[in-house]
Amino acid sequence: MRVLSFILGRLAVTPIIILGLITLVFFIVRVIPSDPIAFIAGERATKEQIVELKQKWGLDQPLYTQYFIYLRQLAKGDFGTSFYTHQPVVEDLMRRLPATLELTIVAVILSVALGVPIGIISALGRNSWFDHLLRVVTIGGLSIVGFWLGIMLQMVIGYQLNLLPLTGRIDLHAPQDITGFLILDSILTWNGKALLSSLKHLILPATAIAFASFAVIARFTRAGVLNVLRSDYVLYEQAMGLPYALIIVKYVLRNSITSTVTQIGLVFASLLGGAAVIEMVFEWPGLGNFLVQSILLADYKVILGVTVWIGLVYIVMNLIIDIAQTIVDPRRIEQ
Amino acid sequence: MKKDRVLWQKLVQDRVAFAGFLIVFIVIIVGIFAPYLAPYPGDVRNIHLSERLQRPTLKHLLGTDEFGRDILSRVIFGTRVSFTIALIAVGACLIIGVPIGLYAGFYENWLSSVFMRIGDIFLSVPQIVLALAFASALGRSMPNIILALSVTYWPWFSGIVFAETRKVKKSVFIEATLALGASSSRTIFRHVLPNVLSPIIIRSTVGMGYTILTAAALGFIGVGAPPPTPEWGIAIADARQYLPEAWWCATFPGLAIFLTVMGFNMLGDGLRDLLDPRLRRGGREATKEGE
Repeated sequence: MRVLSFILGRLAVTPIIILGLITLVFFIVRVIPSDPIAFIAGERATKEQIVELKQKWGLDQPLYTQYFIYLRQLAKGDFGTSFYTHQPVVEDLMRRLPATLELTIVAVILSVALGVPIGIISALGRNSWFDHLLRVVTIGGLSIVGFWLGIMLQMVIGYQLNLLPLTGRIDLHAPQDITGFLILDSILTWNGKALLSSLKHLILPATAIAFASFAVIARFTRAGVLNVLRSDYVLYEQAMGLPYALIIVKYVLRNSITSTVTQIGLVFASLLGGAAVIEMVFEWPGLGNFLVQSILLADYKVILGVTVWIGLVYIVMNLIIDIAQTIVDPRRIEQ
Repeated sequence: MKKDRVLWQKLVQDRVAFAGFLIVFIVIIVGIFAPYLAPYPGDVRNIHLSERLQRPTLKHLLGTDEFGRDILSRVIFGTRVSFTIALIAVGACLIIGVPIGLYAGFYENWLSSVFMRIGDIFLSVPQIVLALAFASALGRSMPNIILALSVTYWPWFSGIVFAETRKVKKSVFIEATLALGASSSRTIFRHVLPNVLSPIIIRSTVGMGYTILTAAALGFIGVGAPPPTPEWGIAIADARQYLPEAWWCATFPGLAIFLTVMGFNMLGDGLRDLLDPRLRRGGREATKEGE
């Protein structure tokens, strides 16, 4: 019952947070001192043209009217129209979401494949040289500038060694668009060349992203395993004479995995847009790069749309993680 | 005094934390004495096109950039820029976040919920995304970038202070203090605050490094400090078009960021172990901070 009321409470707060986010971003973005119309119209525009454009984009209305119009549009799933491409923002968002998801999934797989085993080994050999090494390596992972690492990878592996492509998602004809995920589409259309090309394009950006998330996952895995190792029931099992390997595999790992899984979820959510600068360096046609480009063009409708969209995805992801975690471990409500 | 000495001894014993402390200390010294340490202090602004894009030599230890400016000098002056941004931004986060967290955690009334929900709104997007939107709206200048970073980062402070205050409030000695007739404000500042200080110190240390990273990202994209500020992120962005030939232009500013942030993170990691054994090395409090 308490779990249910906790979940309902969380669900009730979510719309308030979403509305708050939309309001916050709307007013932030509209603070732009430069007049968006001046950008669109160009320097040679006449006064009449400017008035006409203002009317066309609804910028002649007072700010709060614009705000309510925007809310009404959003409720209908309309994220506005780009000043530059004249395309509905929502189309771009939908097209770019698979690109970001694909990159994020690969980056997370990389970080989990490395981070979880290393975290476990490090916890089991606490204070060994490996544990100390891991400490320095993971702090390094948290300290490195992702976009700089990306540039260094491009420079060494892309330019100098010429092993992997520098930018983009694919360099030949993309496979027929079915899901928007190039790897999946290549497999579905049985296109080996496209598959290879898209995989090659993924390696460098995914590595640049994974470096930080690997560190986070390794550290949380280590902390989680250590926590369980210190618990009374592990001591009890040891006293009962159970083989150490059995205790580790059957009890310690199974019980420590929840915290790691939660972290993986949080890392995943944070990369949907959070890796914007790395996407930009690799000219990855994803959400983050879209945001950066719209900022450079001062295309405020797009800035607004992408930020709200990333926020929505992020809020929903966090909500799912939160609920799943509560169902698995109801004790956390107390905290 | 004695407690401080014990803490210091422990810090020295933890090699990683001490190395972090040394790095931070050196970077601060370099920042303060930048005009005396930089071989060409004038190169913050001066342009020497005849010396552009020179490889590292004895004359220019880290080479020169596309305007012929000495990279070492600019990296040295860059410590001032990054430090100023991070110090003021984290300071502002403390000023906003700590009182809100203390209030919300101590009283737990409707106003607390309002404060915490407002914080949640800011936490509902990765910080870099919100900071980008903010910084681009405000325009390029040092005060604006500091504003964008503080406004989007304070909920990390109020959140942790809130959680800790709630825990401390439940303890018997707070109950006793209140029963003895101490006012709420006296209880908060004399008894609660000292007990939530450790997580605040840890948060601030790690937050310094994190803010330097975010500020560099903003500079790199072109919504941070305006040129010719010797900011590390801008330097990397400008260097991109001369890669891979002029590798030194992008490499050294990036290394400077890495080292500085690493110093803060090592120190923060060590402090976490020393001050708050419960938090022992989980990572950054939550991964929402991933770049």
